[in-house]
Amino acid sequence: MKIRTIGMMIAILIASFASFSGWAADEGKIVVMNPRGVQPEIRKIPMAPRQPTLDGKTVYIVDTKYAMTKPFVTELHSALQAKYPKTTWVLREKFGMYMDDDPNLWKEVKEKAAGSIVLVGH
Amino acid sequence: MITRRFQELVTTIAYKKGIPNMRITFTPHPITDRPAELCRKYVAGNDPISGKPMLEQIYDSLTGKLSAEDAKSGYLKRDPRPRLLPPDTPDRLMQFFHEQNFTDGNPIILPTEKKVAEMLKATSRKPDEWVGQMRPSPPHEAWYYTVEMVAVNAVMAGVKPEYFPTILAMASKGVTSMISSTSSFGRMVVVNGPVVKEIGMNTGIGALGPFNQANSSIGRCWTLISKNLGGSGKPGETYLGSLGNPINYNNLCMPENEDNLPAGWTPLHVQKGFKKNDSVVSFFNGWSFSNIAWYSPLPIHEVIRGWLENFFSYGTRQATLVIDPIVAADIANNGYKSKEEFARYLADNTGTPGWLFWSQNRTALKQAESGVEPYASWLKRGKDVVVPVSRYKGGGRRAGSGSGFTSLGGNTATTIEIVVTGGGTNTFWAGGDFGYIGSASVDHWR
Amino acid sequence: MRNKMVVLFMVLFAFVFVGFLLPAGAQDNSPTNPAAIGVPVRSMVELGSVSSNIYDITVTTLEVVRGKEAMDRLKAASATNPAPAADSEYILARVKFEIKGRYVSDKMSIDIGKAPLQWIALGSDLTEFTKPSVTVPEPALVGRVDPGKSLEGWVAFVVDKKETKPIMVFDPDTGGATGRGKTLFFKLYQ
Repeated sequence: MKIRTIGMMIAILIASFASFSGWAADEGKIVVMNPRGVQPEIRKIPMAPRQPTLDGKTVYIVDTKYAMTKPFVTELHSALQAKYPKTTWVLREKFGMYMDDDPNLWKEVKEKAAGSIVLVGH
Repeated sequence: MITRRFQELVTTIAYKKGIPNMRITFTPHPITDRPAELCRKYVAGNDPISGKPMLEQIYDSLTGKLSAEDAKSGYLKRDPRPRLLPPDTPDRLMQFFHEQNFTDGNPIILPTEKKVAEMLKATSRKPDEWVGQMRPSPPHEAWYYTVEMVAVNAVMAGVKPEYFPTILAMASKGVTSMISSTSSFGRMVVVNGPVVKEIGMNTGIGALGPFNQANSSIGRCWTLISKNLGGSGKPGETYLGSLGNPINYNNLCMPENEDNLPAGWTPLHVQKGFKKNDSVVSFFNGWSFSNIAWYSPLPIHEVIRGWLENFFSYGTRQATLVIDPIVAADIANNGYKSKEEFARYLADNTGTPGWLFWSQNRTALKQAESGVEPYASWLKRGKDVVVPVSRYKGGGRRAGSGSGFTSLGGNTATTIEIVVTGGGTNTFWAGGDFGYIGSASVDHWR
Repeated sequence: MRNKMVVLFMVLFAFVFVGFLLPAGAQDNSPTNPAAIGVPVRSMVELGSVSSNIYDITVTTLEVVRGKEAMDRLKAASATNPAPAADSEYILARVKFEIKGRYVSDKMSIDIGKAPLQWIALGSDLTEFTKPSVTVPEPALVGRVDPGKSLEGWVAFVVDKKETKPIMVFDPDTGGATGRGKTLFFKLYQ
């Protein structure tokens, strides 16, 4: 096989390696590494089916107890009761601080309510 | 429901939690500490984002029909993570890194494969080995990272390869340097053990200042790791600090000056259960830091006690003192034979300013007004007079947590940490509302 | 000779090309790149609530049986195990779960098999199949695993009969507001 052919093959090999590895020689370009971490997969949670009406149903209003937001939560509860009197609006405080989980409350909501409003913060 | 200020945050969180079409109603901002009449007006008004009447929007959110997509399970697409970025000129890459929020606003060293490979030689760990996972705060998603990914950020921060095991230890703890909170958290990182001298950290003059490559770049690297590997530091989405905190640039990175500890005073890492010859990084969480450069006729331990008594910030139930070796020697010469002994003296003899105590303990105030002791006697002295209740007792109490207090005296754990560093040019010291979070072994990552 | 050189060149070219296409390392586990049976997947979990530490885990699908064989084994495990719906069939996976602490002080253990979403089957379109309530063959993949130890056992799924490429998910989250670790994906087919 001619030396020229072998040389061309080697040149093609090197050029392929260069382009795949990012040795971009044109215009002084360089390749750098990605500083980002790996983002997790996001499991999609199906939303709960809605009721056609809340008449005769119970809805929990869950207060996460962010500092000094009680007046708003109380006013919301009163306003919903006044505007939608055929619905039972139950105001409950979540356990612990605003970031603490409350699995018992969620279980109660699932068992007794058609839905919940969780609020509010800041 | 959430206030309008957090629209971007809540919609991205809902997506990341797997409910991209979560029904959200917004309120005006802020809601905190608004009078009832104003709240009534808000509730009767419109959602400030959608413009719809608030109550009707809530009702519709609970009853409106779901789309087929809303009812499905599955996995949402994430952008792929290439190992290498598209080639470009160094100037354009630098600008790209700034625009992508990969930096702290200062220039970085571009992480070429060659530079990263050099960094990786400083550890026996494989490049694809998992180091840790980190999130901006507990409800946020965590991102995951390998040894190689940490090396990329170490190069960017200007870290030398010999510092890399320290960086890996820091990354392995999975603690972000920038919590997402609106309160603009700060962090502190303290290095102990033989590694301090091995990598030439500065324990002397200006230990906390911009005078040493290791002190500066290690602290800086924690911020880059937090942003790029931990998903933190994206304003509006994973960072909501109202003012921001300049501490985040370097995270108060310092080595302890172990050679100049008074006799009987143990290094921080030994206090936390490590051996003296272990190399360790330790992490602290807080908000503010005061540099006290003041002369007083009082003995220095009394000055510190007075400062602690009157010091106020968000984290009012924990404190870390960073003291010069001369100050440490003075304190030891005044009879405090260990850090623990001094911390206990401070906790036992530091009351709470009256205005702070009565405003944080409304139940106690009501009891005082009803004549219940000891509150009644305390209140009788005057509402602004120091109350004999310690803020620094009960080890591990969460900063800013609600009511509850411990009376002075007794022999209980404290929430006061003490670190000794500095060059002994004067009897000065510093302190802040920092509490100890944990430590990680550097040796584990060599 | 010439043909041999051409072939050698093509082989070298192929190595270079494929080498740069291959995914790099442990972080590539995903719904579109689930681990094959027998391939261990290394990951991490965060344990502890007040102060959490990171532990290293390795999860491996050791064996997968499906259809009649799975049903037979379930019947042997308990006569009360019901038959699946007409258009569904069971899959049984035998899984090994290992956990290691990083430091001597890492002593927290992890509960496997109790959290309802910990092991789930997905279709190739990534929608979830409902977890069946059955008694699996012994040993079940249920238990508390201490650092340095491992747990091996069976877990059951039910999938559509026409689903040819189901995927098993391991999600270390326990359902609270704060997650615990990366979700991992495994093939439930050869």
